[in-house]
Amino acid sequence: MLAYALRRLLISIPLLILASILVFYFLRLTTDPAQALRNPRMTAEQVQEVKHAMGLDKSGPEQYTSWLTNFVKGDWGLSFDYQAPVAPIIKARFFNTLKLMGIAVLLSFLLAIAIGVYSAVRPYSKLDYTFTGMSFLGISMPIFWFALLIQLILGFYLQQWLGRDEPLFFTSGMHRPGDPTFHLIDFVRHATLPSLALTIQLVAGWSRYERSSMMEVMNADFMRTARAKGLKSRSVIFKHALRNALIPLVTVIGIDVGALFGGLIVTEVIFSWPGMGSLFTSALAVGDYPIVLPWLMITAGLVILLNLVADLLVGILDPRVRYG
Amino acid sequence: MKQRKYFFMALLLVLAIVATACPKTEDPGPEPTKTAAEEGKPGGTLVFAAEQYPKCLNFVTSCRSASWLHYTALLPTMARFLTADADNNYKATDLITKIPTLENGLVTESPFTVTYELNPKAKWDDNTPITGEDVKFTWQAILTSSKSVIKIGYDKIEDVTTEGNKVKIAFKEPYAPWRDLFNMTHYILKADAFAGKPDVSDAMQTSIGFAGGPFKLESFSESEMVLVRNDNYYGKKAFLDKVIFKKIESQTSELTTFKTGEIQGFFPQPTTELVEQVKAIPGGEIGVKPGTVYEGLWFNLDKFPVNDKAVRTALLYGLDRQKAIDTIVKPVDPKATVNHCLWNVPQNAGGKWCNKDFPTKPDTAKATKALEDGGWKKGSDGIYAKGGQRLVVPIATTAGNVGREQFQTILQAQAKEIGIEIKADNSDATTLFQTRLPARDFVVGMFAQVASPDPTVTTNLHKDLIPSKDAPDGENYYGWKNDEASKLMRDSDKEVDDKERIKQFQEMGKLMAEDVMSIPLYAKPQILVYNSEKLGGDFNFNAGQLAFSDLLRTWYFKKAA
Repeated sequence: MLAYALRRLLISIPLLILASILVFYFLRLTTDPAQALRNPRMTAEQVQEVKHAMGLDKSGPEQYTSWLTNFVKGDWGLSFDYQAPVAPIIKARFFNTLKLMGIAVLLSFLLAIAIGVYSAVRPYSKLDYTFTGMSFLGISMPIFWFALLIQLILGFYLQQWLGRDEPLFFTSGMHRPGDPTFHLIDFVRHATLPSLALTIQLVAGWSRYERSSMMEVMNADFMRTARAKGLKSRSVIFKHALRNALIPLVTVIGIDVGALFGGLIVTEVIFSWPGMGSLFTSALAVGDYPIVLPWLMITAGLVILLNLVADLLVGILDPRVRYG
Repeated sequence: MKQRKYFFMALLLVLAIVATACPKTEDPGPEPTKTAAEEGKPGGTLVFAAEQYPKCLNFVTSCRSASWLHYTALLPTMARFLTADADNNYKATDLITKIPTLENGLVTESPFTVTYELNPKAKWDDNTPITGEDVKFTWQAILTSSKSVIKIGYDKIEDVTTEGNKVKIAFKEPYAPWRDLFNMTHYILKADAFAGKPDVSDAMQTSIGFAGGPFKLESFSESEMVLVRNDNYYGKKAFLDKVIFKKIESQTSELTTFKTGEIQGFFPQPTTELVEQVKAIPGGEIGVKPGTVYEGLWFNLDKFPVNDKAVRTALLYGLDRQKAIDTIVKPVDPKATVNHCLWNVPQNAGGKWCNKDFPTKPDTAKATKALEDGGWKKGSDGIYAKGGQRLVVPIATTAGNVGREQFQTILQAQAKEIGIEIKADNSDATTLFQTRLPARDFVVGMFAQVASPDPTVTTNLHKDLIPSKDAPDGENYYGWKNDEASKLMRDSDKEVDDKERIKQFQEMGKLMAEDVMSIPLYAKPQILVYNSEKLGGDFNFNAGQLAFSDLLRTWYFKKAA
């Protein structure tokens, strides 16, 4: 299994390099990081000076190789936009996103399993239809719509209903203004709405996977055998069926979670959560490739890594799957 | 048993959250009878949303390109000689006793020098005086910092000398926009804070260790910055203890957080819907000002059909711009009218740079005559044509900007009435401004120009600065080639006598109008949203927000916050 994991990781390196080259050229073709710095009275020489200071007067391949060499050495360089080292900026944003995602993924995983199992065990019941309807709503409606709705209902209207000076669940930021120290309750009050917006979307899709997977397993021969052996219903469902039904869900979660690291743009912008998604959009807009390229390496690397983890988990869940 | 334990733990957590959220249910606090200002008790923390939050703080380096850096972190905290009043005129800050002019002898023409008389009470937040040495250090820092992007103008300075409270800036040659140096969004650095090292490129990234304004920057992070009152400020002190600028990029979220009370004010993009929504909120108040951002129809004078002056004249007289403004802009700014002048001249200094050269009222007879005199003939479809080519005018504006798209639709209908077909040729803002404009890939652009109090237009309109191999960074995207106007532009950049300079600009305005090189539309309104039930003070904000700090120090909470 170790050899398999290492091989998978090695294969991903050229993929990452290719992706970074494409992104680099796309950015350099479409954006000019020096544009924002131009003063209306700057001469051509002065514009050239600015470009030189930013290293933008070198050829494309020179700029890229210089960036890659430094990146591998651990020097991620300076952001054009922030005028500060890239690594601490990305690190802070990464952990902010991780906090939000951690809560949402955990909640979604538990809810998706609960809903999926219930719907599969009692298919076509009233509650199953309700869950199915809600799932379709969750899948079909865009996340910004949910986010704004949640902000309004659980932020503003709930506050009005409670008659409070401040909302029960805050609609923006990660902490109280001016108090960045971590307080659990304050964090929960800030993280609830963005996590919920994200959870709705994730549960909607994952519960459908789990339902169909569970239904397929419930009709399998080994399940009939388990029941015939006189095992309790709970044991049949949770020990035999669920373990097998988790296999496709684990694969989907592996892909989704990796992609989510960079894909929380809308949620982060609406709830003013300073994470990876909003960092990417602002960097992309100004062609800040010292931010965009490591961002890409990290998110793409995570997609690859989490896929690998998902594959390995499948091997654990299903002993028939062996890697060599 | 275990499950029950977890249930109670979860219940306790929920109750704790609710309890923390509801501290004031039983205790409404003392009834506020007087305002904080009336009681002479400063206090409270104001939270204001920042839509375009800055990434770093150093105004000497590229960080300065973020306009919100100035509105939030710098204007309220830094010392500078001049600021702008509500009409975008230059105005002395508390740092100096008066604005230097030729008349009061503080400006001399030959040699060209400018002398500022420092307020003897002027001091930094640590009580040390602000001196000419700080001004000299700032000049050296701007010139010698490796990442400095604002050397223009400072490179014309010969020396900075101090005599008593007078700081004399001697220039190598006359420099008309001298008022922009050490002013507006260029601030004075405290020499001691940099241990005498004038390369400040790597300083002031996330903190500034000194303050010369009514507030002091306490902290700066990726999501908020905290300003505290500078109790050692030498002018009128602020009432508020703290001002927190919180990053909220989505306007819808700004509105929700304003409703919940998480923020008490914000500067949104003006839309009719927003104005209506704010008015529906208890205490929701809107301040409106015509901004220093001027919308116009900007021609590419080398492209068919607007390379024909007859077509430009027909558009100038044929379009009822005021009618379009009444529909689109007036719901936000009831005083919005068509501009008489182009570029940045209409509002500045009470409009003294403007000669009102452009007509503002439609005259379809003149439009028709211009076309017919120009050899255009009306086709069977009601649209003029010449040499087999129909009179179709593509107008490019920013796709997705509802107000502009609606404005464009109104102009389309009006143009059809006079036999001109306007075609929408829109792109997203990035493509339009960063790709199409520099490549001159447009026929007519409908967008805004941003003005500063100094009215120079050389980079944008000089005949030698049309983008080309010889002028790759020229910004005369419009291709205006007028020898007389170009000479006036160069001359005016060296003219330090305002009276003469005004004449030059008024002459330039006539030439613009004669050539119909563009068509002015209106000053884009700026709006300030605040809660008038909670906040008191002066809300007559400056159009360019340059004097936001002057307002901020007058604000107070009507009850303890």
